[in-house]
Amino acid sequence: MRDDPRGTALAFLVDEHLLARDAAEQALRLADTVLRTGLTRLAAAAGTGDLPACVEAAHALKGNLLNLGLPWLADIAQAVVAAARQGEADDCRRLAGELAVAVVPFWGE
Amino acid sequence: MPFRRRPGRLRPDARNQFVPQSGRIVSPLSGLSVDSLTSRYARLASIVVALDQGIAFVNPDGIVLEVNDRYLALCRRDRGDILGRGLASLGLETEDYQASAFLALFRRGVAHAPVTFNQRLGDRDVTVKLQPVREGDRFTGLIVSLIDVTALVEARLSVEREKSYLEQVITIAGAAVCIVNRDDVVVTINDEFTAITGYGRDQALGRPRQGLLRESPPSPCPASSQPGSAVQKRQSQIITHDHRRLTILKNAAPILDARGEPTGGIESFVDVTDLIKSRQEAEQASQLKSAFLANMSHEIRTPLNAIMGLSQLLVRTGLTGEQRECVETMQAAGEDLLVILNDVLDFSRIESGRMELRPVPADLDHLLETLRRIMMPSVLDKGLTLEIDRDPVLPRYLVVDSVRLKQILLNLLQNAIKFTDKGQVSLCVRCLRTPDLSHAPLPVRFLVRDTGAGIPDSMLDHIFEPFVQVGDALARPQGGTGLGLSIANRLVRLLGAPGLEVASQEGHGSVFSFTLHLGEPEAPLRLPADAEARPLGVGFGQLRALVAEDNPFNQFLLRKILEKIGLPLPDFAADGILALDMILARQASAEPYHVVFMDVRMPGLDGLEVCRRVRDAGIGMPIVALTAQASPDDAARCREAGMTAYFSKPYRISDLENVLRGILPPFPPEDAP
Repeated sequence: MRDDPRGTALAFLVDEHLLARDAAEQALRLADTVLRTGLTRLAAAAGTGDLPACVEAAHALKGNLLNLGLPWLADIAQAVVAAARQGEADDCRRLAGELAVAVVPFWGE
Repeated sequence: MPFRRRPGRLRPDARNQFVPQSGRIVSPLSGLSVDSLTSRYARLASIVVALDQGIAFVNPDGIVLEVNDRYLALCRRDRGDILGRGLASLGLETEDYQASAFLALFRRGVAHAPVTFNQRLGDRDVTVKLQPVREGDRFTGLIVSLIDVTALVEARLSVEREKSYLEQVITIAGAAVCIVNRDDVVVTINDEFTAITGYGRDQALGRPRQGLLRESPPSPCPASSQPGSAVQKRQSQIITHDHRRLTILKNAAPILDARGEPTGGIESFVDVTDLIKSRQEAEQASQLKSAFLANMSHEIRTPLNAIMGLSQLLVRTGLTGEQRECVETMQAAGEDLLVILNDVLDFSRIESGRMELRPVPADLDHLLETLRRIMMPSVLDKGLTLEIDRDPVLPRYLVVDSVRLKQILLNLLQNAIKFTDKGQVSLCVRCLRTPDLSHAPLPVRFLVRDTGAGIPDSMLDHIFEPFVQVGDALARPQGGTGLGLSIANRLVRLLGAPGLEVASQEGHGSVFSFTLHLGEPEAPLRLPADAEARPLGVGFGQLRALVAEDNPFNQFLLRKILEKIGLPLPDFAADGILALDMILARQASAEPYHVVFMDVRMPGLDGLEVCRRVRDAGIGMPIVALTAQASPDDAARCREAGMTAYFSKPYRISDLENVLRGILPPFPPEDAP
């Protein structure tokens, strides 16, 4: 399941949200863009130590990942939120990096 | 009896006592005439008689020659018992002091100074003074005087008793006690003080209190408190003799004298360090428990929803009769599991004090109709009848947490149906006072009555305890956690009633009831224009909805889900300011929104602030919060902002349907126009 997050998300959208196959694939394409944008925002915020922006970006990513049926990735996003809220800039940067790496298989890269 | 006198003569008798003698001047009163001597003797005798002291004169041989009435009164003896008798007759021979021994010392010239001592004489305490009388070098007698000090001794003993009593109280007090003088210097401590601070009496007494305990924040000397002011209570920290920092809870007050002036101060304190630590640990444990429960609910519900959702799909796929039966059994088991899960979560929330109520104006007619629709399938399945009897004098809108009230009534109705095999189940709502213009809360009594099996007397006292079910034979076929009535009872209490009441007779049914005091809304409700016209039905297909969500993926997903459950295409707002504008504009039009889905985090204004402003504008339509994962704290914040419900990611059709069914008027039948 964790080896194939895209397949897991597709199954989740079809089985849980009862989306038709084409609608689910459309949702995944949209998720591609949204996740890339979100991770870029998070990386920029973490890089500049803008912790409130980290919270915003990571929280949005968490919601998307939950809606894609990928709770283990949402947990990393939540860890970024928690680190940023506690003012731990270094942890925030590290976890943002971990999240970006963990999401890579979603794009099949 | 007067002092015994022998006037007219003064001469030394056989015992060398000077007595008047006619025509002669005797030493040491030489130069005085006999008359003068007689006169003076009479005056002295009168003085001796009038004295409040007991006086006796003893000659050098120890024979009592004179004694006054006061002495006789003090020793409760007659003059004949003493006069002319030995010194022992004066009652002054005790183990500690023997007057005869002192007499011997005076007579031998070994001692010259008067001797004073205290002793008990009969029932009196007296101070005895032995005053030797000398003429030149010759000892000529002994004056014995007694002063009655009984009252003084009693007073002293009384003070000592009080002091001893206080010392005992201080010693056994379950708190450290420290008494200071007006200069805030320690004058008394007890053993508990030593046990807590490590300072013994030799280390504490005489030292300034503040310097001893290094209290933080420092407290003023207790003697400086205003007389008559209440006991000062505070929590602070002190440093012990072995340099440990303790948190103490203390009371302090001045000690006042008879005039009400402070003479010092008293402090008593207990060490609450461990208590506070335990409380913090308990709070942390409670938070962990809440987080655990939230996660568990998520972890259990996710696969459960998948099972139930897939079984819903499966049952529509042309199954054989046997296959359908299997799937339906699976669905039923899943629903039972969900009920149990919700019961356990509710019970945990109530027990940990985290169940928050949200009293809002609620539509009583809508609530009763919803209950009827939910219960009817079970009622029909069992061949029962359901009667809902609503007091017509009750206002339609009352302020109550309708979600919890519905939960209570659902539980009671489900139980009633569960344990009734024939006959009727009824829900009766009565107003116990005619509504008037006072707007005082109305006593509203809810009764759920059935004609079922009833409850054995032996069970009635335990029926509201958790995990208790009516006898196995009755309950086992019905299943359940045994928490339902316990939760209902606790919810009734949370809503302000003393608790659920039950009356039952085995074989003749049961009545469960409770009374709530419910107010009417202060301002008239502004409902969507068509809500009043169709109070009992707005289908999903007729709903006007706004989705305030900035994330394109979430927007897409929500649109698809809403389509699935038959909602027309909703409006979308990508930030909070736009959402607020759209709600206000629609409200002013003829077609206000029926429901708003509001992301909590949005650019511009966040969802909570938008909700507050909508409520401030007097708009009461349901607003459903969209959250990433709703912890109890998140839920509380949403409710405080005026949200009606919340919908957690990941979005699920069944959850959304449940939320909508909970907050919107019931659906019309499928074939309704």
